[in-house]
Amino acid sequence: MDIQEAIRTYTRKAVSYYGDAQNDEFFRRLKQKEFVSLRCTRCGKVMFPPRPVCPECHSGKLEWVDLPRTGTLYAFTQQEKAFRFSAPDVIGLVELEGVGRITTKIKGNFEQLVIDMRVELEFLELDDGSVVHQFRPAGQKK
Amino acid sequence: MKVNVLGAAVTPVRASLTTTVREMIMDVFLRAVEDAGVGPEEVEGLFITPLGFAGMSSAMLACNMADYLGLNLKSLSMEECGGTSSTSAFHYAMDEVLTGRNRINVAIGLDVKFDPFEDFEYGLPESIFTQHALYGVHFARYGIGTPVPFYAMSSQRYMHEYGVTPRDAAQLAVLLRGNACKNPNAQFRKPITVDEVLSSRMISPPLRLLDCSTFSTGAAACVLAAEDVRGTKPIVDIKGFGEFHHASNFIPVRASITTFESARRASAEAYGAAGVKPDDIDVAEVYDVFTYTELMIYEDLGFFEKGTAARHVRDGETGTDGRIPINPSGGRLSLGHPAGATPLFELAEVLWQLRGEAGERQVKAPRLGLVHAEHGMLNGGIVIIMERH
Repeated sequence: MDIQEAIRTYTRKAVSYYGDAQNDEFFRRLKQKEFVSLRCTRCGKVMFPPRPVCPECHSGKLEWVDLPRTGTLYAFTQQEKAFRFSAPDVIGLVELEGVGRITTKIKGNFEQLVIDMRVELEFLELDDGSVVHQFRPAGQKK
Repeated sequence: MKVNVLGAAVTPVRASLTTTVREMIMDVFLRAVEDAGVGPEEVEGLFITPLGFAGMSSAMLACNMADYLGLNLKSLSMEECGGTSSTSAFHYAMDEVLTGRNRINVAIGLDVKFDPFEDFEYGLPESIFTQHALYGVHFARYGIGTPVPFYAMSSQRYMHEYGVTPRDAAQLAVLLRGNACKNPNAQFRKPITVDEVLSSRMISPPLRLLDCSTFSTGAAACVLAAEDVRGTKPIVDIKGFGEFHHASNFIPVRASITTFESARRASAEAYGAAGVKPDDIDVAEVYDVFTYTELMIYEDLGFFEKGTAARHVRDGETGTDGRIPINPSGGRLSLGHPAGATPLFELAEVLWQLRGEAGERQVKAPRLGLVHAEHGMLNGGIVIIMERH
């Protein structure tokens, strides 16, 4: 088995062990260019990433809601040795109003990023057809 | 009832195995019980960690070891909780003494540096499963395969919020290396300078190579016993214990990433149980995997005001001859970091310091010692306070 095929095979298997239906749904919706998570209808908190039960009040009554597509860059770094994407791989924490800080891929030159800058969502399609979220400095051309 | 910390033993910390895993466990077990002044046959409980929580599976290694060591036991278990794995083993060993069920227990932590690509056929699947169990299926998609980027972002926020500089961090790395130079068990014993730290390879900004600890190999054991089991060495006992796990793993969605609730609450519980204040501590070993993080931990354990640890380090207060010596062993950065065993390496160092057996790196006549361990990015923590009588 070649290494890329092995990574894909065992990643699928690991997700079938440690994933959940909500995670599958999150990435299915990302593929349709929807950026969503679950909101608890009892306490009103939006969780990230989604899961079957609210981590704040443990209610199972949840609904899918759109997440804000712009946010504030809270912190960022880059991996000189990237595991999935080509290096340098910029990673950040983006503060989304009413949600909290989410860990995300960042598109942009590391040197030009600053804490507290506005960033906006972009969908990144990968070779295997899946889609992940990334954020880029707001107001810049694609 | 009190629990005595009767003895301890460690292997040198090295990059990879120099003996087999079973030989390593047997070695620290036998030397720890000898240090405790008890016979192997007197041990009633054995608690070990897997061989590295991020490494190969080691299911039933505890059972294997009971046979290998020739021990009939009333308690036997393998404990895993990331970086606090060996303190979980310690906790179980301590509780079995506290309930009065066992009189003498041994806790052993071990770690073997794991390279997933070295043994591709088996190593890679194992590594992918570990990555998903560790970081969750969501973040694995974003290619985060080590905790370094998380700690890097926490370090960046610490600089942003408190004005800490790379030079501040580098000074700490240099101090720890100086301590390690006096520790024959340390993995890194070549002196370094601030400029060398500041020009070392960038790993994940702001973290450079010499700001980081490394995955290492090693094992450590400690013997815990009922208060009437006294051995032959000066008596050291457990004066306080605290533990707290926040509902998060690595990056919390809402909580701070520069002030760590686990370290604050675990230490507050331990100080309360011991009836002491941070200022009363004479020597401490903390679970410091990156320079900036170590500074934050000093503050969250209450040794310094938030944002000021770097200044106190610069003034020499944490050196072996300072006001509050911290990580006289060289810390994770220079002693080396066999994560599954790290907390028991810390405990062994504090025990030797309290008994006055730490050789060239001995701090002056300590009475109270503190051990801190954590998992994730300080999502959980354990603090142990020990006293010499």
